[in-house]
Amino acid sequence: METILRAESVRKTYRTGADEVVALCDLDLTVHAGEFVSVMGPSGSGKTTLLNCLSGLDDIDSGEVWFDGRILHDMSDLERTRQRASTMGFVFQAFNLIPVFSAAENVELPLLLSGHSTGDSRKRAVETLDRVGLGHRVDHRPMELSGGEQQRVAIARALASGPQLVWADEPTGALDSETAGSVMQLLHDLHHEGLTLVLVTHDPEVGQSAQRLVRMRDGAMVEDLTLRSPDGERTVPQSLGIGT
Amino acid sequence: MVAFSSTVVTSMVIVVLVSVPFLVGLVVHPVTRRLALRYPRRRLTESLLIVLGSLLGTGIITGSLIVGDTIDRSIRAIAYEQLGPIDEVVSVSGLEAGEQLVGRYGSLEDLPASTRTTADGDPIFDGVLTMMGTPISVVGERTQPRAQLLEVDFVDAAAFGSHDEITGITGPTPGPGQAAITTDVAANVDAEVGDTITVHVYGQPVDLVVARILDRKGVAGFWPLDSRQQAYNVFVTPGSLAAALSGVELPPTVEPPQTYVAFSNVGGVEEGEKLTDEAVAALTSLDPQLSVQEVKREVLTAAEEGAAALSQLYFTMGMFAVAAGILLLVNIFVMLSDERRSQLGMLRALGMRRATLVMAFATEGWIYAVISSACGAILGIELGRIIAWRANDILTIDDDVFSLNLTFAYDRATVFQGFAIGLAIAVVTIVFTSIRISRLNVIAAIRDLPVAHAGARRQGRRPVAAAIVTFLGVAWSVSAFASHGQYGIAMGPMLLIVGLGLLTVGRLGTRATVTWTSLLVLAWGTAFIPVLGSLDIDGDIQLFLVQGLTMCSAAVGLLMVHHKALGAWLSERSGGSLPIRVGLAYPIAKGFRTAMSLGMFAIVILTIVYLSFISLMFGNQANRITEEIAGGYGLVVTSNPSDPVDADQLLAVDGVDAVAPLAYSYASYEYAGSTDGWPVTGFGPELLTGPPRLEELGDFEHEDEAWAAVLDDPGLIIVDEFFLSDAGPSSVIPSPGDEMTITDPVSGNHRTVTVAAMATADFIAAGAYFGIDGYTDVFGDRAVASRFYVSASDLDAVEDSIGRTFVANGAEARTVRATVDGLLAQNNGFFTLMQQFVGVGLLVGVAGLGVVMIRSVRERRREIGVLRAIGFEPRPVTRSFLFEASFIAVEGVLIGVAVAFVGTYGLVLNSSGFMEGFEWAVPWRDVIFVAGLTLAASILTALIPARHAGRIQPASALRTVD
Repeated sequence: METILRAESVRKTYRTGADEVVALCDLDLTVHAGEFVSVMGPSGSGKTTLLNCLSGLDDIDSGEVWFDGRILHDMSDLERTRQRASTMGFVFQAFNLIPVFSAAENVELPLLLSGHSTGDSRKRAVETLDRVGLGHRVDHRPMELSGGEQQRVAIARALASGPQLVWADEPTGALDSETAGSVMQLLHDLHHEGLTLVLVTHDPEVGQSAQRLVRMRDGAMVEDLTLRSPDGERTVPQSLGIGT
Repeated sequence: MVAFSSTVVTSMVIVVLVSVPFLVGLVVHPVTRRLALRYPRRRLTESLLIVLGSLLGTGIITGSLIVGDTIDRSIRAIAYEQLGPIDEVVSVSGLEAGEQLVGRYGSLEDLPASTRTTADGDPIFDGVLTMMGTPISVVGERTQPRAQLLEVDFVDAAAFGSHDEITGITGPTPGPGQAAITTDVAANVDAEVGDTITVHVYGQPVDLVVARILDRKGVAGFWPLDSRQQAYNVFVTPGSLAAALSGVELPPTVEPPQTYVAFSNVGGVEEGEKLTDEAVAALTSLDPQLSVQEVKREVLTAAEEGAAALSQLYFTMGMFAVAAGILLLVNIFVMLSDERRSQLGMLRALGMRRATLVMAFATEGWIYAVISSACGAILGIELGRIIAWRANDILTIDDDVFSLNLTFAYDRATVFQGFAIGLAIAVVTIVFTSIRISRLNVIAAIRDLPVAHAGARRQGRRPVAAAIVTFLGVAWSVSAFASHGQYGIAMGPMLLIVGLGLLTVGRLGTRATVTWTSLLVLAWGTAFIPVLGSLDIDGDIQLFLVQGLTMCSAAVGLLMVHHKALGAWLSERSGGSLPIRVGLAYPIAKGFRTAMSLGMFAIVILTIVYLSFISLMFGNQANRITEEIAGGYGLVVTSNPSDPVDADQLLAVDGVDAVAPLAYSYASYEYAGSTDGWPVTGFGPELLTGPPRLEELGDFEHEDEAWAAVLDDPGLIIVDEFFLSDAGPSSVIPSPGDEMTITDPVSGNHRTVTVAAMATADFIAAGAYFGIDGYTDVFGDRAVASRFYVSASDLDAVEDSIGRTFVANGAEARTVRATVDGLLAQNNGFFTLMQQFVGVGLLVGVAGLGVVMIRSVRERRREIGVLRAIGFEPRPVTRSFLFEASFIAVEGVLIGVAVAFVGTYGLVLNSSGFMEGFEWAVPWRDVIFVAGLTLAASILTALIPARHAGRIQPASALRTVD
């Protein structure tokens, strides 16, 4: 399988006054194309820090993160920004949609930012919204959408530019269980279509639904478990209580 | 092709420079376009508040520029009213000399052809007119003691210049026994056409029938006697004076008639001045001794200088309000970025470059700036109109000499200039704020976490920055002290203090560092004024702006680092009141926002209270000024030089104790590279019994010594700090030892003199004091004692008596105290006007507070929901917001007042400034009024958002996610 992302000995420390907190401790992680990786761990385990550092949103203190054949943190802020626009997508717990833009306008943002024409961006945005089941809501603004719909718009925005990897940080954290379920189903469907997804969650049900589960504790990876084969067959029996 | 003035071109360049990048962004970048256009439309109330808060700055800038237009136009009106087509004047004293002058230059044809054209062959002159005049008094129903009898041929006068509209003279010359009088005479003596008036000419009363009344315009308004705007002219047929003086030998104690030859240059009233150099060269080529008075140029130059000076004064004072406006803009944009923080973080995460984020934010700001600047420029017209209206009231006083009628006027170019400057200031502020905002931490923004601690890289840069700033501070201070640079002396040490603060902050911590640096800056901000004084440096008005802004910044910084402690103390004192604790918590937590709000209030309050201090301290000086100016004399008597009162006659008046006769005229002074007109008083030994006080004695040990030396030595004079200035203290003040050339503009006689000593500020237009021998050398037969200082036990009674007794001599008596009171009242009026002008900036502070409160309620909606859910009632919620608004307003007011207190105290300590000898006095009434008004306005502004906060329903507030 093609390797999309490779992190080697990544270390990240936060300093507050005299205190130091090691948020990531010599982390190694590889993500292959087409994988669905969930990252779980208790509060403060470093899972969100992992997402921030490996996506290039945050700096690291040591180690290397390779993405698309390049060392991410050797790039300037400008290069990393361009990299994100063209190769990565992001989905966050609080949706973070622009309230004064319609659904279509929110989705086409990364396309416009990476230089696509207005017409092409709109066309692709509408197609992506359709793909996530919101083809009938393209002109609605976030305040006119339910929580689940807003998160679908956020997912569509993450997909619009055809990224190599989508990062999702607690995408169901602000949703009720039924809506969370439908959003997760969407993500699974997209994964089956070939999307590479790294998802951070504290929800065991969400975490276990992934193809691969990485467990974090105190900044270190304590477990890296392949839960399903590429064709979706579970490789670890649920009865063993993994992930609980 | 339309030609644009340089003002319009410069303004256009500014508008284009600050607008093109945003216009390009709007057209080329769809994301920028959407973000910039969508928010203003969707958040209309907020957008309106931003525009309202921002437009005041441009309004103030435009208003101050329009003040200049009004002054310029009003003084230029003098050119139309008192000169018309007259560009240059040559004059001589005496009938015989007058005949000779007229014989040589009396008509255009008398001038050689070679002198009538420029080197390119273009004509210089389009008219020559001769007049003869002498000061008189006029009696009708009432008396006009100071008037002028003028002989001129009306037919010649009407043809003089390009049009009789400009000339102001129409109809036939008055016949024998008739006179044409100006509207000023008609009004003051209450005369109409057909009435008989009596004019006193060289001691003879002559009855004349009023044949015509002329508007004060052009030749009809020709008034060379003093600086008043009015022209009390009585026109009679040529030859009248010669007939009246036939067989009469005028004694040397009276000034003979003056003959004037007026020249009109091609080009009309204002454009003719452009040929003045050629005209003077042409005339002096005929006679190098000829003294040519550039009368039109003097008025137009005075118009420009007066306009520039007053405009600059208002502009500088207005800058405080503009500074408050800048703080408001920064505050608004920082709050907008707070609101949209998670969206901005997401945009960065999606791949929006920092530069694009800056462009999007700044473009939105540019849209607000364009609208607010345009509205502000229009508001500025009305502000200027109000100032002109109020200033006209202030400037129109009893004493004609110090009076000036203002006519509101403005150029569209000025309004555009105001718009351009306002737009530029707003855009620069917005761009810098946007750059600052764009440095958000992406993750913290997305997750709405507190701002991350400064990274190691930024901390590492601090010692370098500290070293650079410290070095710059040292270098600037040293070079400023060496070269006496006022701004470097003021700000160099402050920069040094900041640099040292940056060096110590790592060790001492922010709080301690800000505390000591702020205290030192405050101390230096107070101390540098006396230091400048000790170095004999007089500060510009702009230095006050520097002082105010730096001290306010230091005071706000000092308060902010101790804000938490203050809040805790207040909470404790309030007995744990929840509304107060909640009301204090937010301003303390949102330090940047609070600091901006405090700054807005403090800056404007500082200026208003500072002006109150100055006004009060000036007003308290009436007694001292009167005593110092009057010396041993309390009354100034002027009379017509053609028939002056005699000193013995004055001494014979009941109650008069002593009289000092003085000669008085206007001279031309060449000093410090420029030539200006100013009065001169020639004094004799009588003045030495009670001369005006001297402030600087030069090489002399006693004042008596200095006066005696000036009396004896024709090469010495005494001047004061207002010498040669038209608006307040001079920017170039002479010192003992300085040399200048004094010239009689009529005869051209001149002499180089040295300043022997400096008198106290001259409130009675005495000008330079010149010993009578020296005066006579220069002014010849015009050295006539027509002005007197009189001492008496009952000055008011003597003033009244002299005015009634010596009507024929055109005697006007006025106590020094009345003149000083009138001018101080005028001063006070101007200070009040300026306070009201700056007070417009208070609206900025209040609007700013309104915006902060509205944002507060919106941001804390969830918290309010929680408070309500746990039992907080609506009223305490409302009270907490009202307390918050009051807290900020009170702190801002206290800072402004405190800095004003300290700043004015330092001013009074200055050993050689214009406030030397002043006693520090607190204008309590004004301070309480301004503080109360600000507090009331702030509470009113906060009332609506506070009540809205109280009505928030817990359930809906807790449901709010984004």
